[in-house]
Amino acid sequence: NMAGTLLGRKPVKLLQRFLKSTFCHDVASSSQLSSEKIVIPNRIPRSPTAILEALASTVSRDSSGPHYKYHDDPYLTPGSNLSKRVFSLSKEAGRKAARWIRDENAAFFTHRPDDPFIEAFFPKMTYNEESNLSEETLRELIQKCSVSDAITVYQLSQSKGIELSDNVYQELLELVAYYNCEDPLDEDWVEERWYRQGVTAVRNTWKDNGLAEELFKSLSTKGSAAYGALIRGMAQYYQVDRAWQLYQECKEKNIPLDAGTYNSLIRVASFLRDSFDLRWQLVKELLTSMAESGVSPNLGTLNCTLEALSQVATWRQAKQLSLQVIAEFKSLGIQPCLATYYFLLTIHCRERGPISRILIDILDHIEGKQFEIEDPKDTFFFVTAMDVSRNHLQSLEVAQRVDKLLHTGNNYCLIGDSFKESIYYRHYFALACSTLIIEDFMEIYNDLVPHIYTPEPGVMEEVMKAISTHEAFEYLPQLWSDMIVFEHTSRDRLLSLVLSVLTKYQPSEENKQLTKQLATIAWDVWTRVQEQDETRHNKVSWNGLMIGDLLTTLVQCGEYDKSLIVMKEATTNAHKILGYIPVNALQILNNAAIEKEDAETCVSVAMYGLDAGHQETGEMVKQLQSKLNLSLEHQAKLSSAFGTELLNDSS
Amino acid sequence: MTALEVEKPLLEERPQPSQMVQEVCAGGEGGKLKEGKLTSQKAVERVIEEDQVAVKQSLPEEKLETAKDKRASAQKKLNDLLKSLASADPMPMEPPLKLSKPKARQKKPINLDIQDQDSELPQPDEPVIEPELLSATREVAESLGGDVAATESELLSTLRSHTVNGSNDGKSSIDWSDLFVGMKVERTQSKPAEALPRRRRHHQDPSAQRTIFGDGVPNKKSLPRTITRPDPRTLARVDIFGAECLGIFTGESSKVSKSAVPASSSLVVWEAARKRELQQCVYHPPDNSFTEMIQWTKQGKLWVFPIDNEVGLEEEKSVGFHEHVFLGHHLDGWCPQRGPIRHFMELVCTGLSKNPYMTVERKRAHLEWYKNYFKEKEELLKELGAIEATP
Repeated sequence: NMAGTLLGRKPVKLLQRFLKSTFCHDVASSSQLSSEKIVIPNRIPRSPTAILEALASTVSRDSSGPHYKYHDDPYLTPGSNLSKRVFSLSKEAGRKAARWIRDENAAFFTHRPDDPFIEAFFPKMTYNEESNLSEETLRELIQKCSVSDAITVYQLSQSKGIELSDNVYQELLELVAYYNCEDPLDEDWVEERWYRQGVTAVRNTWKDNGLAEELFKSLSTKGSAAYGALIRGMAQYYQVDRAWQLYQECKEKNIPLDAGTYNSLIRVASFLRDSFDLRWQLVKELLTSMAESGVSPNLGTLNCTLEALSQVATWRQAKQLSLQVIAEFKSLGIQPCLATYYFLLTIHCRERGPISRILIDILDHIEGKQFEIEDPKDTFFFVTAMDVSRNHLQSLEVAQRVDKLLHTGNNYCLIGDSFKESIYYRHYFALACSTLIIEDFMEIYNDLVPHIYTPEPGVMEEVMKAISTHEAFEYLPQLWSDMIVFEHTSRDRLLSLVLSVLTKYQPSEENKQLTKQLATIAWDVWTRVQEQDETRHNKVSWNGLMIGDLLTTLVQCGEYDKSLIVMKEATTNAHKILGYIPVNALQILNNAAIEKEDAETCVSVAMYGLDAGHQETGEMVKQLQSKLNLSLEHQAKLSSAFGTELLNDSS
Repeated sequence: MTALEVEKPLLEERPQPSQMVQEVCAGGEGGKLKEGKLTSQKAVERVIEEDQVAVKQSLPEEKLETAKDKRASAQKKLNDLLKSLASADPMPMEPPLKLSKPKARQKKPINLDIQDQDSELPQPDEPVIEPELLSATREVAESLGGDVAATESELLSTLRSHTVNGSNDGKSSIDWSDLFVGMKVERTQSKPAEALPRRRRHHQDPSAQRTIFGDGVPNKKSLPRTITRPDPRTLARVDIFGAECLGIFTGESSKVSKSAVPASSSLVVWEAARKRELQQCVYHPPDNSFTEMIQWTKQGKLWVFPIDNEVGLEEEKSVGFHEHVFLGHHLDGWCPQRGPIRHFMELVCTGLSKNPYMTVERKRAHLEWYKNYFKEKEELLKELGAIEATP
């Protein structure tokens, strides 16, 4: 209270005294302080999302938990690639259904308590004969990029005879040329975009004589903007010949074109000529006419030129030319973006060509930088760089540098889509698997799997082979559980690989628990294959080798009884098994049976060996006779099968 | 001192057709060639083609002598190489290739004695040449014409001499293991000590080594991949920005006319659509609720931060608070200075000034309405004495 009244009386003096006592220990300098000005910093304008962005930057991706988009319930956490996809798209499908109902029943959604009005939450406007239309309506729709609505309104206003200005015609032309008269994917459907394979087909999809051309014709004065929009649209959808015709028309009529239009032509120039040097000649012509007409090139020009070069990447001069192009634009002060580097990689790192270390040099340049998207092809950089590190340079060190760059700042959003992401990790993973020792590799495995990346069956095979080479059986239980979660257990190749890895295991006293786990795995393989749905499309079928491996593993891991079940099934349902059990597996089982004095099994193994035509069966029978006392029944069975000669011979 | 090093220098002087044969012999059954895609069948064909050329050149005269020459030179080369082994630096990190061998030869007992390097290698009793190769050789010989039998035997002997080289590899299985042990140490710089013993845990007997490396053939996966490729760091640097300019835009002629045309694009809608699609490329399923809220904010579904209670009040943005609060001056000119009307109107002003839900426009209109109302009733009010007759 005292302080309050004091402050009220002499606030300035008090503040000064306070500042003195806290900041100035030196009495001498305190007299200067009063003369010093307090500089209030300028207000920094922040975007509406600045605070959220700052908060979001404090949260990094947690590799130990499922992605945020999945339901927060362990039971509903997807593991396999298929279930990840299904779960995400189902969630979005629910949203789509809700929106459909809302739009279909727009009449019921009239209550609007929100202020300010949030348009995204209300049914979409529909336009028909009765709607009150004006140029403004059309303009708004163009702004919102809703192509089909804009087209409807345009057609309605044509039929109603509403006057539209040339300006709106031009805007609509640009819109329909950009989207080729089709609606773009709604920005709300994040998952659909994420799972859509972003690679568009390189073929002519332009709608000939469509609305774009109609609008173009109806323009009273066709200036550079009109030509520009139509040429860009045609080039974007690979209607190359007609785009070129229009370009020639512009040249004749002396209509200047802007950089973006030139860029779109440069991008597709390769489709107009056949041989490598003629194609490049055309690109050069375009660039020269750009320079002559005084159009200053931009980043798009650089990328389109390189894209044109990447289409002739097998040409011997392409590499040298690409570097010259970069140098040219560098001297113009145009900084390359990730797409530029992507094209460089495609030009310099060819599958059959000589090895180039350009990726390392690129990394030297851009390491630690953060990137914003500047070109749609920016998203191709990381996946291609990882591909190059694995298949071209085969260097984990480079791969790790690429990965570090990807995890710098906000660069991760340039990964592209789920397709590119999984290819990226596939390359990274396979490279790590083939270069690292198994302990280090498993560290990466545990970090990425299963929430960031789910290995495909082919990659899992590589992992299994690595396990087999390093004989690191202690990882098998974990890997097998993962394979179950990833739905890999219905793959013939993987199963036989697992079984053959299991046979290499030699149990000893100190790892009893592992022995037990491995036996469980082997038995799990058996039950899974036995219990698979009869109506399944791709059923796993046993072959002799797999059964042999299974028997070997079960016997070695001390699950003799279970191996008998397998053997019994193999003898009774021999027709279900492709080929025969190899003899070494039979011998192992035979030896185990002899040890257990199980004559019954020995005899049936011998009979199986005979059926399979194994030469060594005779030896097995001899061994069995010398070590076990056979009952008369067994004797008779053996002698009828092998002939008395063999039996007498041994006795 | 290993088979590995024998092969390394041989392969350095490439494309000798005979060496290609060796490669085929070495890689024919085991797996892919270094180049990968070629099947052994195709490789054989290629080899034969190349051999054909070689033979054709030497065909015209002294066929027999050439044959002898060839054999002699092949042996001489081999000897030279073996001698050079002693001086050459051991390069365990860089064996040239995967060295799988035809199984046929592995089956015979492996001779563990390492040959006296300087002595001539004895010919194996019956070097195995694959039947395919045999028939191919015959075809080549026939296609060349002349003394078919002589050509064929010449070719075959060349092949055999290389098979000797090939089988030489198989002799030192133990050396192999040692070699790879060395590699492993190299590779696991961080923990060399524990990596190896753990591997051998299950194999107390000396034959364990053979299990680790299978049947003497190293598993492809156990080798670092870099073996098959040169170390990227040793490759020539690519100076990305160092090349010469194309000279299209940087030339003198273009600089003059640069200012002629404005650079900015006139296609507003196109650029907006392009920007929109670009932004969509980096909108991914949100990672956490903050990024989700960012997306919602951008879509206009959330109030923008920092939240104040004026969000969305676009109409009132340019109106100061005083216009809301101080309404008294609107009474000036028509309202009596005192009396019940004055009292009432002051209360109305107070009420309006506290109402945040009305725009200033509406507040004024409200007051205007009262003004008109009292004007209409002026007569009555005067009668009642609510306002003074003469203000």
